[in-house]
Amino acid sequence: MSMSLEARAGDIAPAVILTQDPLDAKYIAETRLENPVCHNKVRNMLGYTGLYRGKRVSVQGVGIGPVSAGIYTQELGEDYAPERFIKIEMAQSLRPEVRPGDIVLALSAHTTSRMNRLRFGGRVFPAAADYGLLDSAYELCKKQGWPVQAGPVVSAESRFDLETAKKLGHRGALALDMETSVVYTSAARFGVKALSALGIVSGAENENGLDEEGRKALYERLIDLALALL
Amino acid sequence: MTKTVLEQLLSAAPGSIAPTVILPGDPLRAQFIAENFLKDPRLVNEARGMLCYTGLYEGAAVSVLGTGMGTSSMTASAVELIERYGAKNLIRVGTCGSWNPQVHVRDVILVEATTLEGNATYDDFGLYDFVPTADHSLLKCASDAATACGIPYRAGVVTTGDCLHPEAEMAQRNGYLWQNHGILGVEMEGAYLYATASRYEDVRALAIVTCSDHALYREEDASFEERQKSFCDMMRIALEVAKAQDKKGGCKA
Repeated sequence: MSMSLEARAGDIAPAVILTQDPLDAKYIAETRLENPVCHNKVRNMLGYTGLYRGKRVSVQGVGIGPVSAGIYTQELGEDYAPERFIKIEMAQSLRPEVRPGDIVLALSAHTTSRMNRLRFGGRVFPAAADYGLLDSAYELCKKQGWPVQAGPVVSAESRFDLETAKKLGHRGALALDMETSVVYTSAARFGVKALSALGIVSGAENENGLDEEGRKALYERLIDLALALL
Repeated sequence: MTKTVLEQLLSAAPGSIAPTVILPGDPLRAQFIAENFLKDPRLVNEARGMLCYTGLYEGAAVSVLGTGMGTSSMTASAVELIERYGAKNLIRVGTCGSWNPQVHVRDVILVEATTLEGNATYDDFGLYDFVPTADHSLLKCASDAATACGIPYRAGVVTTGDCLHPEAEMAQRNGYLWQNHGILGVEMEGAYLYATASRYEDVRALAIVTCSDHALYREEDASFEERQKSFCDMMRIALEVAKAQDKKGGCKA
């Protein structure tokens, strides 16, 4: 049990799918897992554990941004012996060649958060994916014929960082999210393999967005990808 | 001797440097690569002792330049290669030290991303974290090539440090970073290669390092000759990546 999670040690599986919205965690658990059990209701940040094709897997909401996701990933790391984090989220592109409907695999994450500068004595910490997980995901997408790209993303704290995010897009960042940086940092701290996969719903200037049907299909594809990486 | 770095770094003739350049820090390692791996190597630059050779690796044009050590050497080399010689693919090969108990001397590390402790991105991003990151297509080409050649490797992150000889207490503080957060080793140029390459739309960069010294496994330290000659696995991966870039359509490894 931790400050924010009421699960007992062992209630949460070593493989954890992470996502901002606890209702998405509920949806994933109830539609894809066998015998899902809700292991956390504290603060309404729902988390579930069940079986997928015989493998134990948990799905945990982490909330919005690096502070909230930092709390959940750190508590998972300290009390629940995770082995892998797969973070899935919808996102906006930052580059013209990253199109709605693409999956972006975050090789690394820039961030506008100051958390890592404070943690690491003023240095920039290389929040980066487990390369083996990333390569597996990349190969899987290629085999399925799903458009996929890999590269840095920007984990922003708020919409007020959008101009900085666009500038980072000019320097190669593919997409914008809010939690990849802290998920990768916590993963590094606890020796957890981690990968963040973003489903692109709109273009770099928030144009040409996917319609509702397109978003649903892309989200199901992201869930398929996460489950294939357990 | 009369030109400043900003005016002119290299004296190589225009067109004498290939679009793909391998970048060891040590000019003598550039010479070693040229003489042992390249066909018909030509010495195209001797200015500042930064030996640069151009030749063929299995039919592919490739150049090798010894950049010198540290941020300024790497940044100046990268900018000159890109802006004066049209370089598109920059592949650093180097050595690193390590404090990580899982890493051993001679381990080959493909560098996904690096720390940054210098000011290279301050003007553009201030106190925000720009994480210097490898180009994924070159990284994937390297990992596939290593697998195809049967060369074991790790892909992960390293620290790019500016101070080779810190005070003892500084080194202890750095040890916390490496041991507790999965950092594989420490070198001195990767961040600046990645940060500089990111300024140009069509330039790709990758750093590969081998561990030559280990703080915990002192008995494994490589001798001077071993450091110069026996890191051929790393050089082989870099050259396979270079060969793949020379073919139309990029990496086929």
